Amino acid sequence: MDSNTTAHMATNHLFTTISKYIRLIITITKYSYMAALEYRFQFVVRIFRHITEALIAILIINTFFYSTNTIGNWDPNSMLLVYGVFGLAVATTFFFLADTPFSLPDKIRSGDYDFILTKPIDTHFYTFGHRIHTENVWRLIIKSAIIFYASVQLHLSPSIFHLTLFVFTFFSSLIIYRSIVTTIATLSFWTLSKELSELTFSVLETTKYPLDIFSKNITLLFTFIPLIFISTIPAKALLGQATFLSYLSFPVALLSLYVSRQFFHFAIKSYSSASS
Amino acid sequence: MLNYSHTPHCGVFHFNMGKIPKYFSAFTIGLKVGLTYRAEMLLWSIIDGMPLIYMLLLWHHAIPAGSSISGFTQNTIITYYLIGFIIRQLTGSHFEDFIIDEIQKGTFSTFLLKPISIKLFFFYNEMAWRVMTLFTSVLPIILAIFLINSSFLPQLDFIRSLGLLALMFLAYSLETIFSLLVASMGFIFENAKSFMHLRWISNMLFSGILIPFEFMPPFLRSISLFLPFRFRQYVPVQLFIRQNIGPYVLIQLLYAALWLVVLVVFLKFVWSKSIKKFTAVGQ
Repeated sequence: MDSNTTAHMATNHLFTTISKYIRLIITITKYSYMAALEYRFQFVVRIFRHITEALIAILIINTFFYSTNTIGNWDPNSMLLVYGVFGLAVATTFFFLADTPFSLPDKIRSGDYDFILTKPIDTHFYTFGHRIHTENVWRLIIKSAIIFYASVQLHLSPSIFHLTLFVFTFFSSLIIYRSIVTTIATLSFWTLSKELSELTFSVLETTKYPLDIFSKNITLLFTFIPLIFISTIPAKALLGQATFLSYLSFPVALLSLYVSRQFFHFAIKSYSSASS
Repeated sequence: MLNYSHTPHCGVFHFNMGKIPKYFSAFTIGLKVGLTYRAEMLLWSIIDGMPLIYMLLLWHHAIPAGSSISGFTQNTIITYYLIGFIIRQLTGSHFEDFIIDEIQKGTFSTFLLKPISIKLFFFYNEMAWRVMTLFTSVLPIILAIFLINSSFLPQLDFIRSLGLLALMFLAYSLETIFSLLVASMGFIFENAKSFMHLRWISNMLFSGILIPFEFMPPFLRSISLFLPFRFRQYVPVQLFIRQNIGPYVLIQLLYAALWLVVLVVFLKFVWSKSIKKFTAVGQ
């Protein structure tokens, strides 16, 4: 078999795999949306909650600036932009992640995880992607509206380069956020505890405001634990402030994804079924 | 000798000296479970503490030394959030999630069949978790404050201490009632956890946990000063911040007691109506 044929077959296999997962995501989304609409009151309450959270955040940010014009080179609207980017990253991640980090310990404990292992698709993908949280569409819309509002207030008109950089850094932030969450959730194979996932989200909440307003040591810490890439760096790209870290975000994202998947596959080896 | 009443316990806060031992058992059960899950409790203390640390750092930058916002200096705002955190750790109540799950599984009947008031059972049971929180969360925070800067914890005189204890007890009672009200929705709605979200939003906004009332727009401040959520954080913290608190404490204690009476009656009504919708599983 010559190299052209091999390359052709590899390409075909890649496209087949990608289309398979896209069809799977569409199917999961459809059924998740139907499930979400079964509880219409909860659906409405969640929307109300997202709107209230956004309004409270705007109120808090404005309060921070009652007696000062800037906090660490960030004014109210740029800080609001960071909050919007953070919210968009969380909403997008949760759309595809749902509450799987919290339900994983129960599945492992009860033996239901066997049904995930036996599926003929990538286990890491299916473990954290077998449910779609369609209610997060509203969170996506609200957070996008915040970004738009902040951009208008700042009179932003980013160049094509900075817009492209924003897309890349934002995409990287999604990968990093999801990788951190799934890595900590993977510890459930040993701890059977969902509190670690709660702790992770609590720590990740700190990224809703700019992380470089703190001392250099703290900012450095947030760079090594790659929290600064989640919202601060993408927001800076949109503000036309490309830094070295902006170009580093994608490699960091790939590294975090690799570590997340490797750790997951290592954890799977220690899983012993609870069923016969 | 215990004096068990054989009448169905739909009543709310019956007080019978003979029943104290069994409610003390509810407390000790909660203590034992809390000790069993001490690692989880410690984790939850850290989870709850993370936003506090971040907010303190932010406010430290937002209010530079020497300036103030609506009467709050840097020291005052840090005191507000630190004391507020300590108080709400000791007055929180979160058992509605458990009750709703039990109702959904159909196994809540085991509680209904017991010769004990469910509401009082959870009132005392949850109190044990507050005691555990004292050791896993509150005492470490107080120790840390003393080591870093003890001026964040102002001295309390006798009246303030008494007022604080009374307010905290009333706040805890109110929080228990809110939990029971949310839990009672589990009898009616298939997915009652939405009410937990509503309660969470109301609590966060109207108790002063997110920002002091002085920073709110006037209409929001008025609503917050009327609703009973303020007794969870905003009102108790005033005992540390205000200079002259004598009349303030008395008035707030009266308001809290009044809200307690109103909500107890409301709870009794809602509970008696909603429990009629409950159907158990099993023989």
